Amino acid sequence: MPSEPEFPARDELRAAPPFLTWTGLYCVVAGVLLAEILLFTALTFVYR
Amino acid sequence: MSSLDWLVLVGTLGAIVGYGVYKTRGRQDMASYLRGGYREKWHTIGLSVMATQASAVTFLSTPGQAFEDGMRFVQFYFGLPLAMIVLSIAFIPRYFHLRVYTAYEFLESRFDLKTRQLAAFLFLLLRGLSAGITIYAPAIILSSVLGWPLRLTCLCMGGVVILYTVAGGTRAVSQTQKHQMVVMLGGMVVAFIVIVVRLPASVSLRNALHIAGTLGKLNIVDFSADASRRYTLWSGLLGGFFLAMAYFGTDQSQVQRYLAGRSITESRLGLLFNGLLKIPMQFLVLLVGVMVFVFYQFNLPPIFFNQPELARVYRTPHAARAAALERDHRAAFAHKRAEIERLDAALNQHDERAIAVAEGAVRESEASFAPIRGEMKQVIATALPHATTKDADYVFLSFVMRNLPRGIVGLLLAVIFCAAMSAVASELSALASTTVIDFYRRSLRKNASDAHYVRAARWFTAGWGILALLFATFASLLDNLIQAVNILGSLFYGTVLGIFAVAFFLRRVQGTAVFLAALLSEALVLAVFLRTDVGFLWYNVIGCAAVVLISATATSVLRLAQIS
Repeated sequence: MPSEPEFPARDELRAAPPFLTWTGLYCVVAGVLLAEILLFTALTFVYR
Repeated sequence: MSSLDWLVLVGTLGAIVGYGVYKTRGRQDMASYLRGGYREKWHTIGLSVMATQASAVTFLSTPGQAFEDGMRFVQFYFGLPLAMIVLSIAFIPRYFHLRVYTAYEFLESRFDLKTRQLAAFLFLLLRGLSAGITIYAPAIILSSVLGWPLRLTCLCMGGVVILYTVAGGTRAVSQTQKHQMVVMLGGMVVAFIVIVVRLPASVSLRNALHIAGTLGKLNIVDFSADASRRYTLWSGLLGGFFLAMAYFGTDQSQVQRYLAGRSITESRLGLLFNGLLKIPMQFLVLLVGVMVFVFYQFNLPPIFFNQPELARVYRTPHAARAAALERDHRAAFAHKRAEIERLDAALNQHDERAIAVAEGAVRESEASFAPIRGEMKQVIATALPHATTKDADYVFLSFVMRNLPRGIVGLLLAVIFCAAMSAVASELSALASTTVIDFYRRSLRKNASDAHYVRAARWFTAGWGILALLFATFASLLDNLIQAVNILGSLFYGTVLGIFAVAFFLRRVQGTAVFLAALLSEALVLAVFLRTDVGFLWYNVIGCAAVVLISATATSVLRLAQIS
């Protein structure tokens, strides 16, 4: 087994994600949830 | 099962396990064996987290649940994406900075040893029992439908998992789970496509959804505020959020998955990936169940899906009654099918008036068709007093075996085996980590070498695996215990989450206050369970809120007493 990589450094907390910002990514996840709930609500009312 | 199905099943499982063992060959130290050597990328973490949660029951029972009860179960997952965001912000950085192997180590650094070991003990108790159920639950269904011996099915499923988890540790678990999850998702997409293709040519997907909706199967969102209803938008968002926080933030079988990340960024992205994909995946699995339901509007369904059980009824004095019910079932089906075809024709002609008339007729025919199944269940209960009359878990597998083409059957069995193996592997690896780190290394053998702890972890993995296998083998004798295990999980998660919530967010509260608050809160949750009919998702909210409130109040009172 090759030697283990170093444990992540403390300042990595501030490292940006490879795409968007952290806040942007959190908004995407919450936004997708909202869109799913709206879609499911629409399906519930259309097909009942 | 055909040779092609066997080839697909054995080939898929063999290739995945072989790949996992190959990737983790060689000598390992503690960091690589218990934490995966901080190597995993976000997509591996995300798929591994999803595979840990998706047990075989997900793919066996969930379509059956949609078949019986519609799609409302998807609301259970509404709180999950929000929990992934909170865990990414608050939990992951703290776990990484403290360099913990288990979530419970963090509790000692924040509180004290007794709080750490209380949480670790609760985890070992719950997960140790549920590992056996994770093997037993699918094995009982597979053995019944496929005619395989139950113990051999348990042994095949559990034995392979024990071998590769002992050999490769948490990295082998993550590496195999990545591919297992791809097989699971791919298999369900294939199943969905094949079912839709097998519907009559006149039935479009839109018509199929309309038929399902007419018969109440597309009741996805329920805005009711009734706390006794199990799945509503509110219980899903709030109760589901707390449950997901507890499961993903404090259950070592999940924490271990993202602690294997090569950086905080990779672990966070892995959890967010899970937050994005989980609801669509569950929606797909439920939709497959609804499509099976629509398929059985045009093809005669079995009157009872656990066919071996039904066959036993025909060997009792109740055989004549069962045969009469089967005749009624066929006649009622023929009538309902004619009404469904009328609705389909009206839908194709876009004739609104005819659609409304046909919908009413379809509902009426369903109202006379469905009770016959209920009557048959009563006959089974009378003829076979120890038999279980709930057959929803058998719907999907029975459908697969009877109606899907060769090769696809093998693929879907591989999906079920992959799901069982991935869930058990995570559980065994986490049980061994917690035993070694929180008890063995902390209290029994403090200063042994790295190699010694790796050896101990291998032995504990094997030990927990054998215990799970034994439990699965004898679980049929302990039906009430299985039910108790399922209830136990929801009873304790809220309290454990409360301990972690105080640890993360209430800096002033110390060990003894939170320890006592946990004991009191647990008593409260047990009282709610015993004395009320509140849905189980709310136990997580109640337990967590009680720990936070009681420990905060106790701390404030103690401070006031000290001041005065």
